[in-house]
Amino acid sequence: MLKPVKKRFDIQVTAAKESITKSFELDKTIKTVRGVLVMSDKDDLLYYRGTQKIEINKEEYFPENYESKLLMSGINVPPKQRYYDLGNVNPGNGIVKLIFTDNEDTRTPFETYRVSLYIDCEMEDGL
Amino acid sequence: MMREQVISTSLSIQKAGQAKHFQIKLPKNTKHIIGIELGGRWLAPTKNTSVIPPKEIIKVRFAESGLKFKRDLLIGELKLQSCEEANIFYSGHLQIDNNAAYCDFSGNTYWTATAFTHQSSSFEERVVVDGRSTILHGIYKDRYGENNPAVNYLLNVYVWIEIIEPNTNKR
Repeated sequence: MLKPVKKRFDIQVTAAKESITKSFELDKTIKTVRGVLVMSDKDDLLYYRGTQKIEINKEEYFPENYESKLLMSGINVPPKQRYYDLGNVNPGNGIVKLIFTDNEDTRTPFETYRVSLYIDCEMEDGL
Repeated sequence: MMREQVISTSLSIQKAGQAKHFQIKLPKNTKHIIGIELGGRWLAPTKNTSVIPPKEIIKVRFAESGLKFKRDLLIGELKLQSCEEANIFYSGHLQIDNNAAYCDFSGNTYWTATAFTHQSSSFEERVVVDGRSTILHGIYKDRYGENNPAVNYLLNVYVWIEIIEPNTNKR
């Protein structure tokens, strides 16, 4: 039986116009990836300045320069609809690669901020 | 096997009222174009310009403003055409929402609803266009510059496509 589970992976952006590449590994028990969401401790910085590329199992789902605001959900969105629906993706080797880039935007001066990548998965229930 | 993919194209707009023609190359295995999304970033002034970024946050109390609806700020217009089809298939505006806080009574002097707190889920604008053409023609016209002589921003166009992928045992 499959049960829904959410995973969170964080990166810290410490310099303006910085590009950070990080790979995260999903548990072996995870059978499908259903959706993704990006959030931050400083929403405005992520909204205006962030872009990212996301790969799952070496397959690109969002290209470089894809704006973070297109993967964010405000508090107006019902909690069950906040994730970007990917369908049912086979995680393969379970490696999720995030290439996050901070870009210049004059509406929000740079400060250090955290970017959280949330992944909506289904895992095998051992029971 | 069919799979969705997105192609991102960035255009730099640096002149008031600038009209820009551009092309977007599609992969050969494109079956359909299924959606378009727009985005942008406000850049720092170049040497000769002093860009004033548009104000998006309306920090006016309800008592002062009543429930006035603010006009959204039009930044520019985009049109796209496929080389294999007559006429344009997409016409859209890049604009800034000035009414995120409209009728939101949770707002006060210290906190106002903004685009990044209250935006709804983003969805691409659905289009159904055959993917036989390998090139899309686009034209973007800056409208923000009509009232502001100095502009410097980046427009991002995202084209969602459906591609045919050979069956592999990879997934």
